[in-house]
Amino acid sequence: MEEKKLLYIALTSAIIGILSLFFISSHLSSNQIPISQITPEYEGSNVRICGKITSKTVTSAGHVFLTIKDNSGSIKVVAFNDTAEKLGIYYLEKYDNICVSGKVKEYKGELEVLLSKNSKIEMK
Amino acid sequence: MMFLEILLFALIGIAAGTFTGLVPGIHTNTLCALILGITPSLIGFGLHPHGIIVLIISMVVTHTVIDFIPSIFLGAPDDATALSVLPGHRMVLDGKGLEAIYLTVIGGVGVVFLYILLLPLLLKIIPIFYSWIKSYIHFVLSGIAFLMIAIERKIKKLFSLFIFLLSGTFGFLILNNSFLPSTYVFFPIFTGMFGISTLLISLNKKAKIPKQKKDIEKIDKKIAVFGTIKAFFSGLLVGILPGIGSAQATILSQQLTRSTNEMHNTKEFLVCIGGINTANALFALTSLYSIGKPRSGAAITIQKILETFGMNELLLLIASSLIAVGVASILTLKISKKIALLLEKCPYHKLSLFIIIFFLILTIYFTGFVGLLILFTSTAIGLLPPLLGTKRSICMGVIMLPVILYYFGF
Repeated sequence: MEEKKLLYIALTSAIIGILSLFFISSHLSSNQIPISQITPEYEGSNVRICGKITSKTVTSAGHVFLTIKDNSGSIKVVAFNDTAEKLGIYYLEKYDNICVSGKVKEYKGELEVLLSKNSKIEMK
Repeated sequence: MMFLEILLFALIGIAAGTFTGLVPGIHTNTLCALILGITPSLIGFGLHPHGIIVLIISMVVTHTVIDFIPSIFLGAPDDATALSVLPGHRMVLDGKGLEAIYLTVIGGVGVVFLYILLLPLLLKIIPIFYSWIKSYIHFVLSGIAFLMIAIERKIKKLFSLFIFLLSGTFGFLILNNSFLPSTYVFFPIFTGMFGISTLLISLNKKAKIPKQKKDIEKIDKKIAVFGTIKAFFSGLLVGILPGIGSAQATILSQQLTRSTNEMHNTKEFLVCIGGINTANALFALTSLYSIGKPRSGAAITIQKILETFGMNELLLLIASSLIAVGVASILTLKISKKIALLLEKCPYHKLSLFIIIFFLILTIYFTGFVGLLILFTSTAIGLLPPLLGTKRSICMGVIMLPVILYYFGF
């Protein structure tokens, strides 16, 4: 094997890698992290979490409080009435497996994920 | 946008891997710990977690290709490249340093292609193989150690046994006491045993670095193919099993690399060790997908950043590895030529002394005076094999014996 040949192989490898990355990157979901990884340092950050709904509470004003659990832990997910309506959260049920994206906020010393009208909800 | 972001992370990873590969004493695990620490802030800035994963994979794969440059040219190894010092250094003293580097690059590139080719099959085999062999790790390691001693001739068997037990006891004492943080503990051990001891022997022999041949001889395809295949399967063993590192896999493959032609052996060994280093990095991450067990610092970091390591992540691993191994190979060939030119201009005697002093400073900087004590002891042990005429790989008892004892319940 000659040096030039090895250089060509290396170059081909890099090009195939870049092309593969191009195709794979369009299938990646964004910012998904394990729930246990959400620490106070994440406050104000947008995160995406996936897991099972273990509780769902709807207040008289229409605000929705979900608890989502994955293999690493659980967290409260909050959607105020106008957001809940836009995102269609009322239709979600306990034990549904979902992925949601929202902003990490601290409320009364506990971290929660606050959904906005731009948040995305996907059934898994 | 996401593609460009991830590609940028891959390039940053390659740059980081080039840095950790070229600078002795800086391990990718150190940077992984740093990356893990700043991940929340990076994600807070809106960066993609998968981008960070790509950065880590690119860095680790690049490191495994580039770290042979200091190992072979300067005799500055880490645990994975320690056994390349002697054959590599011998080739440098024969004016074939560039060829030695070239051989390790062939191993690295070859293993990545073989990995991609066999991946579908491996994903089925790894869980079965792992569940079967996990209870016998101590026996596998003991078998390798026995083989290392048994291949020596007559009285050298006893010398080998003595050095194995001496280095093993030393390793047991160091690794079972918190003298140094785990990230740094191997630096003085391997720099002393395989780096400084080699340089001291060369200094004593008044060795000179001859003009390095710029034209690399055509490598026999058999050497490239067999070296890569051995590297692949040895790396598979390392990547799946806990307690077995690149060094042990190299020893195993070294025992398999036996022909009557010594130069043939050396070349195949260099292809093999180049491949094992990269294969180890790939399989340590594949284990995360196939058996859910991280087998390297990088894999542990990735597991902490992502909730799941699924098919998408595995494909990312493949794509990033292809880019990293491709770019790192080109960089390695180019950088090693520059270093070869520099080496020719420096008097070897002074250069060796300079490198030894540099190691002493690095050791004090990273590990303090405790590290310096470990470095001196390791150097003394590392001088024994060339003085007693045994193979230096026997010094790997320093990690093998503690691991064997651990799995036997000590």
